[in-house]
Amino acid sequence: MSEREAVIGIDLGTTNSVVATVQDDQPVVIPNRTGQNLTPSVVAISKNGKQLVGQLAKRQAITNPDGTVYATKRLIGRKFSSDEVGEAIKVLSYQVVCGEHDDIRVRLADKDISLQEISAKILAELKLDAEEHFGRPVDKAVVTVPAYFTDGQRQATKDAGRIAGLDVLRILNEPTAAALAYGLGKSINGKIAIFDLGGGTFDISVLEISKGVFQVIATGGDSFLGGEDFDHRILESLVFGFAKENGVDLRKDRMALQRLKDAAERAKIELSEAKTASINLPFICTPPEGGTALHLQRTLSREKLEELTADLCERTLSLTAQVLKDAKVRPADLKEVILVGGMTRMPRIIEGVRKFFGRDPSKGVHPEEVVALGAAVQAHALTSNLPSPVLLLDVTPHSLGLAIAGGYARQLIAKNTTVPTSMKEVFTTSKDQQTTVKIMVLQGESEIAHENELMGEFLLNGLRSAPRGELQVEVIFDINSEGIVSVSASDKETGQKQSITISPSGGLTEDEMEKIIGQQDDLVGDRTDSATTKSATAKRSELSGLLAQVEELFPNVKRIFAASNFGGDAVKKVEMTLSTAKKALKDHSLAGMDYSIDELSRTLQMFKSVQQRMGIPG
Amino acid sequence: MAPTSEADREKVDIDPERQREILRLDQGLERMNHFEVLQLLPGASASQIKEAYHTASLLYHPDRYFQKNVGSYKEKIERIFKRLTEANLVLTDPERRKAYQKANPHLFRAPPRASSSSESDQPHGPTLHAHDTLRASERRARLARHPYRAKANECGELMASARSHVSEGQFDQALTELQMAARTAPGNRVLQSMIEDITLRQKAEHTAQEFKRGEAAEARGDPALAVGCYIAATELDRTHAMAAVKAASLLHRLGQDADRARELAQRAVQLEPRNLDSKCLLGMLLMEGGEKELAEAQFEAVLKIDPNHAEAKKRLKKRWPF
Repeated sequence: MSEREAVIGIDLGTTNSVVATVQDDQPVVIPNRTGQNLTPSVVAISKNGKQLVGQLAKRQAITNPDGTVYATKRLIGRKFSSDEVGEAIKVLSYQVVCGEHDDIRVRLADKDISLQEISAKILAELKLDAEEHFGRPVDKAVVTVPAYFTDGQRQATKDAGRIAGLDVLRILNEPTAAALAYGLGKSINGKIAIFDLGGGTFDISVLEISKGVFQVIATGGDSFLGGEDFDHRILESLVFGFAKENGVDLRKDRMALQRLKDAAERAKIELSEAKTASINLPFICTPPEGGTALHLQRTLSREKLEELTADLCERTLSLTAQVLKDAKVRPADLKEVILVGGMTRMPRIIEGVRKFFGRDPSKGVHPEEVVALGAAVQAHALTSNLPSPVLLLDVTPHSLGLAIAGGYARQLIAKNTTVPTSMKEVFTTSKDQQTTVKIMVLQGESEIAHENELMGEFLLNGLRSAPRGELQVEVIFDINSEGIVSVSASDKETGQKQSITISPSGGLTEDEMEKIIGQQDDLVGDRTDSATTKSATAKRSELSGLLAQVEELFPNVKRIFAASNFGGDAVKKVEMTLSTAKKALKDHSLAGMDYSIDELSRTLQMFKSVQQRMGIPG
Repeated sequence: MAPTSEADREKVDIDPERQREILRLDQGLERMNHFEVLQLLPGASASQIKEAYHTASLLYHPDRYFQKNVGSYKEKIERIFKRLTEANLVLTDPERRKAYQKANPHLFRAPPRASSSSESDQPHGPTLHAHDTLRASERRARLARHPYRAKANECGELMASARSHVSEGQFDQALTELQMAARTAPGNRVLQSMIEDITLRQKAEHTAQEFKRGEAAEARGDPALAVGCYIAATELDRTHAMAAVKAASLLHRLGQDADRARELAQRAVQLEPRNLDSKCLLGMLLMEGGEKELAEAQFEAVLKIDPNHAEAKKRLKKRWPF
């Protein structure tokens, strides 16, 4: 092995994903083939049957709402019947159906696709970006997940990696990854907190760093609290206001919903900088009883956004307080507080964190990229031939225990215990003449057995018939370095032993996995076709094409605008977009062209929807 | 040594010394207490525990051997790390530590003075009947063959050899032997205090050597090398005032690293408040660093002790016209 193996770190995010590697001992982001560091976590099957991933998929989302899949991270590895999923799918513009084992599938072009496959498409895209960067195959990666993900969710993410042809070396917690990237090369000694509010999840972790050893002290969070929820609050307020004014529920219209979602996200981002944001969605719908099309025009202030999301901000802080309590750390004990995730740009969040910790939080590295950089650091540390300068002591985020008499749960391995670990405890029989004990392995924090997740169960038979309390059974819980849990129980008297190894399921059986991986080979041809490799020339031609289309439709749309009561605002904006696009073409500016392609696609989509509403064929 | 041959038998990507260490630790896990596992003396504080845990993790965390060919060592390493984690968990969590203390009070007593502790590993069993001498000698012979005794013998030999090396001034060699002995008999307080004592003597000797090298270099007219030696001496022994003064004055003469020079002079003054030369030097350095008031205070302090100190008088006078 003369040349070092290429290994990558991937932050598979709810809204955006990032791939990074370590070069010359420095973690760096690998830009995707369109030159961006962030790849939207969006997958689509276009109307003509083409598979699109990333920016291309996101761009056409408005005109193809039921063929575009996003935010699957919120659903992956969960049960279809769970409350969170029931709540979440109400606001998705794509169709979600129940799989064979209560898992979740997405209906795309009349095919039911597992979420693992959707995530795999994003991972495969990032893998291709990395291969382009290195000029050789890349198949080893560390992939990050929220610290609070369950074993099922972790396994599903791992399965996605396998489908994408990646050997997932490790599933790493996002806040931990952020700490690795942040602390690398700095002489931090002491405890730090990572406050990670991303697109879909919130994580808070406390780590102790000394001499390159990063020890996780405590971690916690909510895998259903993130930027998407903030967007949703704005969306709901828009929908509610619109219903009050016009008596129309916009959520029933998938295209309107997609446009609202898009507008809500933009407004939220704008409000991190500006005090007010205006939302203009012309021709959002036609009234069901007929008549002229309706427009949505609203101004949203920063105060209003804060009011709409006050409880979400509050929740991040109450979870933070809980984790600090678990870590037995006071805010003043912390050397630094680090903000991670795009949502931490929101002034209200920064202010809340500052007040809570009594200090200014650090943002150091780009908050959206730091997780991927940390994943790359860990991938490098694991595969390095030389002793790595960093070592991560990670913890188990959930407690493990077993069910005991009376329907209670007894914890053997507490959450936040460094792994690998092994704990044993001796139990006695609880009934007279009991000859069998049932070991039910539980994961969770509740003292009531059934409120925890049952991970597996087994029986230990053939105990001597004796009065209760006389026989002793030794139970050993073990988490090995791969994170695999095994539990054994033995009769102290006879030495008889039973054990179980718990293999978490991400929702797909091994057979299904094999089948999917088999099918991947057939898709390769399709994949390369859809790959987003784009040279400047290709970009130029895409932009000129868009420009021509918009200019062609513009006079017609202008007429519609003039006839309606909708302001000239939109017209002015289109004119500006057109002139910027022409300038970008003239200047050969790559970034400018990217921007204009985005803007023009939006305009074009708007035009089309306007014409559709007015009954004029596009 | 027995573990060596076992280590040689299996081809793995771990260096031989570490292999032996892994075998030794793994075999001893059952009988070691939580302090011994972390290679600490009984009663070590929570912060010492954490530090030792982190240091040991760098050697025994399974990630350090990720995807390497480690064969049968994989399980051993994992076992060792789990045991380290357990020790760290118990000894750094106040409640668990209290419970452990209650169960093992002898581990938390203040360590007795080295001289009073016995070196012998004689178990405190019931006393034998005096007349049953035949059985007693038979028992002794059996005990001598027992691996436990064998270990004690090995330990004793190593200590004897270490003592003779100390008398010859070969501290490095002696320390290596003692550390080996400490592994076979962890928790032996005599050994630990010997190690501490020799480490100190070794350090003192190194300091003296560095200082001498510095003086020789200065005499030869190689001030750059001399500065290096003096600084090394101050680093080995922070209370070495002479080395600090010499280093500071040479740095000043060479016009190098003024901050360092000031810091060293300051330290020398603190160590020997009545040394007027170092006070003067500090004054000069402070003056050049623009700290006029602090500098004057130094010169005035010199004059208070010796009103006729020429250098200090001259320096202060220079400033008086203003």
